[in-house]
Amino acid sequence: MPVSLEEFGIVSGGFIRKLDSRNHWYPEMGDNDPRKRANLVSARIFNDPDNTYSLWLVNSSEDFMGVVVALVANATPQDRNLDFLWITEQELQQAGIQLKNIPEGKCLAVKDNHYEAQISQDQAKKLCLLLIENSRDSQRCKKKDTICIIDYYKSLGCYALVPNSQKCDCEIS
Amino acid sequence: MNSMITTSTRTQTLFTPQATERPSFSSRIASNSDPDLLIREYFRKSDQQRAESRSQTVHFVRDIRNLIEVLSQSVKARNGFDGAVNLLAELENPQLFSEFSEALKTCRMAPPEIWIEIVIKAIACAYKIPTPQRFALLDSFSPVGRMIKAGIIDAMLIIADPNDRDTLNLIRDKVASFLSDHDQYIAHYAQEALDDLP
Repeated sequence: MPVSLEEFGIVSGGFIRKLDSRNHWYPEMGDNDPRKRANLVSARIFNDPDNTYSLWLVNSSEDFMGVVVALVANATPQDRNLDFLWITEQELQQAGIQLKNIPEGKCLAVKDNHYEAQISQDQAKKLCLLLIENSRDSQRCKKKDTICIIDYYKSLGCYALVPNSQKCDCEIS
Repeated sequence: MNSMITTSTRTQTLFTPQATERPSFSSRIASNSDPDLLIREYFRKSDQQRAESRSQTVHFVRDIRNLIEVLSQSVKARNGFDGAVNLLAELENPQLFSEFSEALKTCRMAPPEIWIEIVIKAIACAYKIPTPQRFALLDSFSPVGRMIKAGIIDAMLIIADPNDRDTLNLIRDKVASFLSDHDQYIAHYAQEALDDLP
């Protein structure tokens, strides 16, 4: 198996939030002040105009790999570093964030693992501070691991990666 | 000399709101080849739809103003960062990236930092442009601030090709130049990147 949840320290039942860059979790002006850092980080990574954010549930290493596939499937090029943050359901609840299950993407293995959340700036600040206090780091699935995952899912015939695939092995198992 | 004055004026106003009168909405609708309209349309689409329309939409990113429109729309749209990077990564001609980099050096007011991050990543992902040219473009950016420096280091990792030893050596030197950065985060980041290079 190319990667495992344990490698990233992700707990089963955690949610993956993709980041534009893992560096956005470490703003220069926030090095010595967690509250200031939380404010800067939240403005950087929770800045979508409609406040609606995608989160992916991962219960296993297979789920994680499927989520990587779902997140790179529409990218150019697909073989790339993938930066993300993982968050527990409890942390989301503590920040007052509610999730809605909305299937997304073509990967059959994980399309039902997709959730959307409306997150206000206040909730985003609270969540970021919570994660910073819990010493959470932003993570990266490195290009070489993404390539292994893509190759594996292509060999299965994953609909997210193989145009005109007739059948994905996910349907068989 | 005249062309220098023209270029200077152009770059000075590039990142400031346009003073010229813009055409009405209806006239824009009338022309389905209006690049700005098509770029906005692209950012209104889902990730899947964007992926399907990228190869067509990129033909409407013809000049630096279209590029600026992409960047402007990216900060107003859902998943706009990825949407912009993936679109600009389809560009075949390095000229627009070069003009953007030049404009940064001469403009009066710096654009939002996130715009620079997007362009840097887009250059790295621009798979139709040969690696040595992408390196030269990335090398032309002045690394100011943590996010831009980290963005350049990340870009070097993206373009690193074990089959292109000459460019790989240049990439290694470029990343190594950040090892002595006063920002310890960047110095460590550069070391980690060097360890990851093929």
